[in-house]
Amino acid sequence: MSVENKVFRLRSCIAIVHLGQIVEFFDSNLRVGFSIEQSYPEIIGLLHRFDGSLTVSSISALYPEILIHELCALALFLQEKYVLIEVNEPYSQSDVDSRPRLINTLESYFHSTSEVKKAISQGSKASVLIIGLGAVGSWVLHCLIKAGVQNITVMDDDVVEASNLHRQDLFFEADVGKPKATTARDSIRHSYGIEIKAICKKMESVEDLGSLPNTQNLIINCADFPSVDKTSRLVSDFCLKYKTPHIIGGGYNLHLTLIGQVVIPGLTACFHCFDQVLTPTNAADLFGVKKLNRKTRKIGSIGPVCGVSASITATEAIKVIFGAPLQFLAVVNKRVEFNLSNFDFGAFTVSRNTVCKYCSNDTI
Amino acid sequence: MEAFTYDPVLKIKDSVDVYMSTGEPHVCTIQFYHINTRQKLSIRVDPTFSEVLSALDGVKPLSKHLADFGFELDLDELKSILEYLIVNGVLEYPSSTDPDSRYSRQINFLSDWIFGLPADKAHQRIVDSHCVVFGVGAVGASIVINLARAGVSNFTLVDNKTLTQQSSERHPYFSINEIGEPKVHALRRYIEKINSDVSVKCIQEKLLPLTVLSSLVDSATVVINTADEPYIGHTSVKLGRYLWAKNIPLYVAGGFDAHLMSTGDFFIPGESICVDCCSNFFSVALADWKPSYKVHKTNPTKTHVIGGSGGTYSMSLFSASYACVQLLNYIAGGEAYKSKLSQRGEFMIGKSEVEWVEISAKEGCDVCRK
Repeated sequence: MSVENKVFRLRSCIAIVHLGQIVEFFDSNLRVGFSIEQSYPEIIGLLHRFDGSLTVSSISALYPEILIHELCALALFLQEKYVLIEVNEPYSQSDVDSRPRLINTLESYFHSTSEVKKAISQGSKASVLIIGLGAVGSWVLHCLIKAGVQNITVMDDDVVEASNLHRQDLFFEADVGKPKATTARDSIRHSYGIEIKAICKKMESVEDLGSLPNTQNLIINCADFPSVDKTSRLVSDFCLKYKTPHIIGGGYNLHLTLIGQVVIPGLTACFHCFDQVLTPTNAADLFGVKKLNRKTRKIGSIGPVCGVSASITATEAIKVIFGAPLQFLAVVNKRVEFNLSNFDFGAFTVSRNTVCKYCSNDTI
Repeated sequence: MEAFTYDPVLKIKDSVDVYMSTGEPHVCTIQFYHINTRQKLSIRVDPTFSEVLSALDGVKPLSKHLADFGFELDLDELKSILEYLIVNGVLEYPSSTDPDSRYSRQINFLSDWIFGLPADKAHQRIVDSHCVVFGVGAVGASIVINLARAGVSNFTLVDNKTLTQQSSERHPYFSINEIGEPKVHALRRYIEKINSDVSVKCIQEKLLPLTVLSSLVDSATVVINTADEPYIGHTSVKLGRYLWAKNIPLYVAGGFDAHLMSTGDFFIPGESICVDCCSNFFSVALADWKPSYKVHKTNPTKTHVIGGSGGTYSMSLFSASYACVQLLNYIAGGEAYKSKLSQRGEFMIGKSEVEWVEISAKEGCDVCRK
C-alpha cells in the first residue's frame, strides 16, 4: 500500500514538546526520547491529526502548504522511531477490554497494529517452562500469567514449607506440606481460571527436559538445587541443542542479588560464553588462596530482594515471549546485580564469543 | 591444658565465604566475604588459628576442637580474635531458632543487614509495625503483600474502588471470584491467607483534600502512599505535611504512569528533605517541560486509552519490591535505606540500569532544617 493511503496513530504515551526549532519526543512508557529540528509552527497540531482513522493523504488535504511527499516522509520517519504506529488492523474488543496495558506496552516494540495483534496472539499461546518455584520462580510465574501467557509448565519437586511463606508468592498458610507445583497450578486456576501444567519432579538431566511438554519458546531457570551452576548448565545444554531462548534466572541461595542473563542461542552470549570469562577471573582471584569448604548452608533471604530479581527477569521474559525485537532486550550479554548496602544496580557485561564451542553458529 | 573459662560454641555464619591464603609460611591471611551485602574483612593470623576457625561447626565447644587438634594456643589472644569476628558478623553463636521455622531465613538475613540490634529483635520490629497504605492498586497491593509475608501484622488499607476484570492485568490479589468486591476487602482476605495473625483495618474511601487524617495515620509506624487519584503529588503533599509534624515517615511509591519502574520518595522527618521541597524541586526542574499528549477518544466510557499508559505487572513488582527493601530496612532498624534518601531512580526498561536524580531541598527551608 502506498504511504498516502496508510493510516497512522500518534501514540498517546508520546509526550511532545516544541521549543523554538526543536521538537522533542518522549515515550513515557519506555522513558526514552529523541529530538528533531523542525520549524513548522503547527507541528503538534499536525501530529495530533494522526488519530488512527485519517489517511496521510486526507491529512495532507488539510495542510495545503505541506507537500504530500514531505508528509509521507515525516510519517515514515516517525513510524520508524515508534512515535506513530500504523493502524492496519483493529484490535479485538476483548483484548482492548481485558488487556489494554499489554497492548500499550507492546506498541513501543512494533510499527503496526497488525504486528502487535500477532505478538499478542503468539505470546498468549507461547510455550514456557519455569524450572523451580522458589522466591523468584513463583513471582515470575505470576507475572507471566498476568501478562496473558497461558501455556506454562512449572517444574518443582519440593513441598511448600512454612519457611517459604515469607518470600514466595502464590503459597499460603493452608498450603504447607503440599507439593509446590500443583499448589501453584491450583492457585492460578482459582484466581485466573487458567490451566497450567505442573510437574512434581526435580530436573536432574537433559533428558528430564526433553520428556516435558512446552519447551519450545522459552525456558526460565529458577532452580538452585543441587547448585545454580549445575541447573544452569543443564538448561543451557538442552536449549543450545534446540536453539531455545532461555533465561538463567537469579535471586537464589548464595546468589540472592544476581539477575541472570537472557540467552538467545546464536545471537547473544550463552552460559558458557559467561563461564569462559568468569572462570579465568575467578582463578586469578584465587591464586594462592583456598576457599573454605562448607556444608549445607542456609543463607538468609528476604522477599522483596527476590521480588526485584523476579521483576526484571519477568519483564525480560515478557519481551522474549511476545517477540520484541532483540534491540529491546536489556539483560542480554549482561548480568545485573543489586547491591544491598547502597541499593543500587550494577552490571557485568560479556560479549558473545563467536568461536564459543557451545553456541557458535557452527556448533548449533 | 588449662581450665577453660572461655569456651563458646561458635560457627561461621552461613552467609560468609572464607578465603585463606596459602602463600606465606608463618602467617595466614584470611578474607571473609559477606555474600549478601558484599562486604569484605581481612585478618592476618597464625596458620594454626585458621585450622581452629575451619573447625568451628556450631556444635562442639571450643575446648573440644582444641583438644582434637592438640594445639597449645594463647587463649587470651584467641578470645580477642574470636570476639572481634563476632562483633564483625563473621562468627555467631548457633541460633536457638528452629531453622525450619517460618521466619528463620529472614532473621538469618537480618543478621547480615541490620547492625547494632540482634536479628530476632530486628524481626520483632517488623512484626510489631503498623503500616497505613493509601491505594491498593498494582503497586500498593504488592507492597502490602510483601510486607505481610515479611511478618508485618498491622495494616490500615485505604481505597474506595472495586475490583474489575481489568484488575487482572496488574492487581496481584485479583481473583475472578472477587470481581465487583471492594479492593480493600479482597486484599484483606488475601493477606489473611498469608498470615492468619494479621490485623487489617479497611477504609473504603478516597483520600480527599478534606479527609481527616488523624484517626487514619496517627498510630502508624510508616505511611505509604500509592494513590494516584487524585494526582499522587497532591495527596502526598497533604499527607507529607501532616505526617512531618507528627514525626511519622511517609513513603511515596513509584511505579505509576510515565514512571512504570521508578523507586519511591521516602520522607523521614529530620533525615530526608520535606515533601514540599521535593515537589518544588520537580516543578523547577520541569519548568520548561510542558509536554502535550494526544488522547484518542475512541470510547469515552473506557478508563484506558489505547496507545497510552502501558506497564505489565512485572514492572509494578519492581517499584513495590524496591519500596519494600527500603521500608523493611528502615522498619527493622537498619542504616542502608539512608543511601537513597532524597534520590529518585528510574529503572530503564530498555537498558536494565537505573538513572538517579538527586532531589535537593529549597535553600533555607525551615521544615527540612528541623
